[in-house]
Amino acid sequence: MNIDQKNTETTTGGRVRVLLAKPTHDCHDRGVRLVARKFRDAGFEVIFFNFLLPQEIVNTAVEESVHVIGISVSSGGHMPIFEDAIAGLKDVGMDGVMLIGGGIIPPKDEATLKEWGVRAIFGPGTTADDAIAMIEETFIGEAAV
Amino acid sequence: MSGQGDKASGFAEKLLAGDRVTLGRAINAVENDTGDARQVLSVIREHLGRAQVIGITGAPGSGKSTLVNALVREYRAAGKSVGVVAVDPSSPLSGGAILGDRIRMSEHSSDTGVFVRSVASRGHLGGLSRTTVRVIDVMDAAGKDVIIVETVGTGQSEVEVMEIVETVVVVCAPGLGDEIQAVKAGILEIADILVVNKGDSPLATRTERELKDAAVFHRDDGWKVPVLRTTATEGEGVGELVEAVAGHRANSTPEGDRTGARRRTKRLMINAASELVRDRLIALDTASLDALVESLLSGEIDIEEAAGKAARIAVEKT
Amino acid sequence: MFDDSTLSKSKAAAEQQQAGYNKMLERFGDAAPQRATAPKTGSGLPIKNAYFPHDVAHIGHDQIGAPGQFPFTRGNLPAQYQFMNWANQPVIGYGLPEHTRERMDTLSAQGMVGYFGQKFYNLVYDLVSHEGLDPDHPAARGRVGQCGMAVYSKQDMARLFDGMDLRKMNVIHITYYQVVAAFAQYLALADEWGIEHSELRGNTMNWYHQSAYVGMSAFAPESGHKLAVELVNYCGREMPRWNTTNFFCYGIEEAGGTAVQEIGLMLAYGVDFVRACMASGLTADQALLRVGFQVAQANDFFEEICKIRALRRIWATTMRDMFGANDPRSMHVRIHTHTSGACLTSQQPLVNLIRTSLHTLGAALSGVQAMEVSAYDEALGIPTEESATLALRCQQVIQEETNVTAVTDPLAGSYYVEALTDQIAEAALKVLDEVEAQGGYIAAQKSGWIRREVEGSAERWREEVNTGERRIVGMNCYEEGDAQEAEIFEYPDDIEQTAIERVRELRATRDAAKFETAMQAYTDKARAFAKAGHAELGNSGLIEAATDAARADATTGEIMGVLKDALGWSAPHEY
Repeated sequence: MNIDQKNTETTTGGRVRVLLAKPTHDCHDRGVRLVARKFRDAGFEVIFFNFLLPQEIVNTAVEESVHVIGISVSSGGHMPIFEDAIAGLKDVGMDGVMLIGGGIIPPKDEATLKEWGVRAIFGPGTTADDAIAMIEETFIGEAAV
Repeated sequence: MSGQGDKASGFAEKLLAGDRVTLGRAINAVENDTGDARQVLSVIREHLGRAQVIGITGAPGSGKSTLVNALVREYRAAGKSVGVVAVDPSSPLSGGAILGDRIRMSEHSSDTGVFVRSVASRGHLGGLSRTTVRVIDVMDAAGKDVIIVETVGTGQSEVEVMEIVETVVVVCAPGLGDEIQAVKAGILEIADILVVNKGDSPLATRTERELKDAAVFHRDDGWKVPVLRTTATEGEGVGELVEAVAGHRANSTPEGDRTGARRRTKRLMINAASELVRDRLIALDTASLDALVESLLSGEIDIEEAAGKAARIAVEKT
Repeated sequence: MFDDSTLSKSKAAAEQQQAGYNKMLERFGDAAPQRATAPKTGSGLPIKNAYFPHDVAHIGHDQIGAPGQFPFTRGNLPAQYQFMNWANQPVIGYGLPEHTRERMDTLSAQGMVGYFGQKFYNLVYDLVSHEGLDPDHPAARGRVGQCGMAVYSKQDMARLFDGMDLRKMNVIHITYYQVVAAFAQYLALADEWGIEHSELRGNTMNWYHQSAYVGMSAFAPESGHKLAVELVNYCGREMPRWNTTNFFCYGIEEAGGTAVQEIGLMLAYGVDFVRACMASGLTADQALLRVGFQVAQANDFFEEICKIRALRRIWATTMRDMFGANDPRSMHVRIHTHTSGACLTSQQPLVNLIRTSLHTLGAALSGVQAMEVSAYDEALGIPTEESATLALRCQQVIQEETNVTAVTDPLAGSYYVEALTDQIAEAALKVLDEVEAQGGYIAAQKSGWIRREVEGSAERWREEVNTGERRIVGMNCYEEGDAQEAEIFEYPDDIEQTAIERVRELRATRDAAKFETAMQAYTDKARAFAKAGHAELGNSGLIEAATDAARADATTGEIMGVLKDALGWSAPHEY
């Protein structure tokens, strides 16, 4: 049922599944919700949810078996969230998942997050298309172009 | 899950023991028909039919997800492990989807006794209901006591999904004209239990009465379709719904344990067979069917007879 | 407005102008920019390239009026800033109560002032409070004292206001859904300090309605609506100087809504709000006497000014005609401007100073009552002391140096301003009609309609930025290779640990029996409140019981926990 001209299937079959997570306390969700719609339009299956505890990201990623996890934080408190999520993913053996971030993340924190294995931070000045390109390149391969 | 022998046995044990990561990956495999799907299906084959499978459907805005949320709470309080299959619509343009239903079940997202899986409605080889049966089967084999399948919307594929569950709960909201929509969509006939959600609304009584008028009460299986009232946001009436579901199961599964699995497999087979016949008839050259059409037009035979003959042609022409 | 001869001259002049304009258009051909061929406002309303008397001929004097006269298009009172400037209300709040207090004192010393020299403090609570939790909850990690102050008890309130006279100041408590907890703790502090509640001035926001367009965990719309009505009743009875409700227009703009949606949707909520208050037994005048608005001032200079003039007109007209509001004070739109945060960029952050100056000037020209000017580093973090002071200076320069405060509604009579005010008013009234046709604001919230409308605008905005149709300096034009470095606010180190120790010590040392008794009574009230219909609101005793609990040192997490249990609390979603 794929009307799109381009290939949107992953190399292992099926669509790219992306978990987009936003803390429940963070009112700045205009960007991440837009990203969710852009991802859908790119043919991804997007699981969008708000979490209270980082462990919920891990549980949801496990249940939904996602390829990509995007965490958007714009009100601060992002470091402990990433720290706990990364540790939780490691615990369940999902540390291979692609982890990306968005929102307002200061440059020095961005550097630390990348050391922790976060693939990219999509902050102000980036667009959903930048993230889509990176995800397609990783999971769909050249057939996407 | 790479398919190597030693890993495979570990995988089977883990899946049957209900390991969550393995379960998630097994669902991916059967959903996408990857190379691992065959292995998953062979592992689970011997372990099906234990879970109780409930379908929840109804028009958007009827509060289905809130009701599912309340049901999960109720089953969890009774110590049962729960699987939820949440079917969300895909975009007809891109095939992508925003699977947002699980947000409404967020109170369970810290509870590892609940496994929520979102499924997009389009893009499944062999159809949505086939994928759903497989997801149910995998959860069943992984030891979930109760599996709730929720569909948003009342499209044909969603109705087909409801045909493969054991107990169908159709949810209506008062005053939205949902009862009419339900009739139009043909989901009222498939209901085993009717629920008027948002029961605290002043219009609930009227909707309840309208549903009682419209419902099919005397069915061949002897089951009398109850019309219940819930206020899912308050948890009211949810206990009664659980009882009604159990009552329906007791009524319809006298043959023992594997009835549920047998039934969904049978329904799936029937659906697949109908589709097969249909696809073949469409693919046939018109000459083979022209004679039948002429006989129909002249009134020589009636439609049932013509359909029977057409079906035979479809089968014989293979 | 004009006699026939003026009108015919006006039309002739317009024709001549348009003919000349068309010639220029021809010369430019395809190179003519979009604003030359099809000009529109930021909201997408079509406008003309020039305005004439006949463009405003259809607008009656009764729709414009005079300052202080119905329908208050030109301002609530006969005077605007001649006798007093607008109040400086920068948002303050970070870290422990002591940190926030330090910033309050610093800005006060820099001349931050309210009406007639009174002290105004616009205080925001932290992320943990907004979630209705205590700092030792697992989800609080990394959020304590972030984006707001870590105030979770009567004791923290005492630290915050240590040595101040609560009777001589106006405190705006920026709460989201934890209104009951923060309010109860503030009242409990007043009791401890021997101050009558009726002497207190301030505001509790009552922002339950924002859950229609802001994605945070919240009470269900109907429960939030009831809590809002309960507070209006309580304050009307006990605290006549307290402002009960703030209509959160700003949040709509920040979520991506247009100027038209911002005022149209809040008018629609206002209608549902008054209806619910009246169902509880209040008159429209009682419901509306003590309400205010927080409105954004964003980039489209004239549209933002006309938006405010239009809001004053349609609010007064609707409240009078629909509900029989009679007291001018209950028809007034009292505005706290918050210059748009969404318009600021993290690229070239100092450029934001220019944007906020324009926003501030626009708000001044439209005649608002109070202002928070965003700091230039707002897109990066919370303001540093330097950036917060500069934001205050921005207000002060316009107040003291430009002389725009000498004349009330100085743009009135501009053909463009009057025509656009009318156009926005009509468009916003259409939004009201659309919401009413769905059964009102709460119904439109439950169905997800409001959210979808606002998100549709957010999406269009983004597309316009991506395609370059909407130009933002430093973001999609005039970009600089190397990022300008701005100093980013650093939180003090020990906030979280101290807050946790304090709340734990409080729980260990408070009078346990007194606490249990108060909490039990409050829990009973909360459960009864959950069952109460609209007609029973106002005398539920919920706020009194919560205040008793706060007197017995109940924390935010404890007070909110009871309410969440009783009313239900969930992650944001469309219903």
